[in-house]
Amino acid sequence: MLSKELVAASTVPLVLSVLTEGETYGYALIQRVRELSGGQIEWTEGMLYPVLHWMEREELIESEWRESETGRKRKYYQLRKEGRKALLEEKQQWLAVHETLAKLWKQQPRLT
Amino acid sequence: MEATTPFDLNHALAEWRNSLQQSPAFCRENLDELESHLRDSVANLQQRGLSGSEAFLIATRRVGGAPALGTEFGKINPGNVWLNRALWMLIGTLVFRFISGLVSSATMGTTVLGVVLARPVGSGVTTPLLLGTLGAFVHLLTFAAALILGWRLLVRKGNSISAWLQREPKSLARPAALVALLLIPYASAGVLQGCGMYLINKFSDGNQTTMVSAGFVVGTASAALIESAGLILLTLLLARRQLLTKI
Repeated sequence: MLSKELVAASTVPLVLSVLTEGETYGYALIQRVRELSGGQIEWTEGMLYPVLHWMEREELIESEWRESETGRKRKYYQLRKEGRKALLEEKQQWLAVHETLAKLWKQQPRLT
Repeated sequence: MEATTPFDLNHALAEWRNSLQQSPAFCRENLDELESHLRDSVANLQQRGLSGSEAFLIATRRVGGAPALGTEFGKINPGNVWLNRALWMLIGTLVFRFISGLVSSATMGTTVLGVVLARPVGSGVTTPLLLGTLGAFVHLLTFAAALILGWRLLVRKGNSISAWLQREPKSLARPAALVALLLIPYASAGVLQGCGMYLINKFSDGNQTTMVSAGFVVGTASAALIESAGLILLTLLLARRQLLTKI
C-alpha cells in the first residue's frame, strides 16, 4: 500500500497517464489504476473527483456528460494539450527519482 | 411472519445523496457524478456475486465518508462554502435582531405597565430604579426564553430546516423565504414598540413620560451589561474549546 503522501503526489501523473490511453470516466479510471498496480494503489475513490475537477480548471483535461452504452449518463474526461505537456514534465521528474533510487539500490543489493 | 424488505438501490442512493447534500461543499453535478460512480461500483461488485446491500455497503465505503469528501470538495467549491456561511451569518443576525426587538418591546411594555398601574397609588412608588429593575428582569427573562426556544427548535428541527433550505441548491427561493419569514416578526416587534411609545405619549403627562424613559434606559442598560458579560464569557469559552481541539 502506498503512503498518503505518495498517493497525493502520484494522482495527477497517474490520471494524465491513464488518459493518454483515451477518454474515460472516473470509475473506469480507478479500476484501471487498481488493475495496473496489482492492488498496490488504493484510492479513497471519491477523492479522485476533486482532483479531476481541479485538473479541469487548470485546463489539463476536459470533460463531457454523455450517455453510456448502458443508457446511463456518465462524465467522460479526456486529455488536453496542456495536460500532455504537464505529463512530460511529470514523467521527467518521476524518472529522475526512479533512476536515482534504482542506481543506489543496485549498489546496495543487500538492502532488504 | 414479516417478509424482509428487498434492498432498493435507488432508495439507498437517494438517502446517501441526501446525507451529502447537507454540506455546501457539493454542487449538484458533483453528487450526480458520485452517484454515477456508486452505480458502476455496485454493478461491478454484484457481478462478482455480492448481494445488492453488500455491494452498496462496500461501494460507499470505498468512495469515502461524507466529512472527508466534504473537506476535499470544499476546496474546489470555496464559493459555495462561503455563500453558505454568509447565509447562516445573515440568518443569525436577523434572529438576533428579532430577539432584541422582542426583548426591548417587552421591557418597554413592562415599564409602561408599571407606571400606569402605580398611578392610582401615587407617584412616589414608581422610581426609575424600581422600574429599571423590573424592566431588566423582564428583559433577561424574555431573552433567555427566546434563546431556549430557538435552541430547542434548532436541535429538534435543525437538520430538516437545513435540508429544506438546500433541496434546491441552484435557487435562492427558499433562503429568501426564510429571511422574509424572519423579517415579519422582526418588523412586528418594531411596530409593537412604536405603539408603546404612542400610548405613553397619549395617556401620561410629562412627568410620567420622563419616568418611563428613565426606567426604560436603566432597565435596558443594566440588562445589556449582564447580556454582554454573558456573551463575552460564552465567546471565550468557545474560543478556548476550539483552541484545545486544535492542539
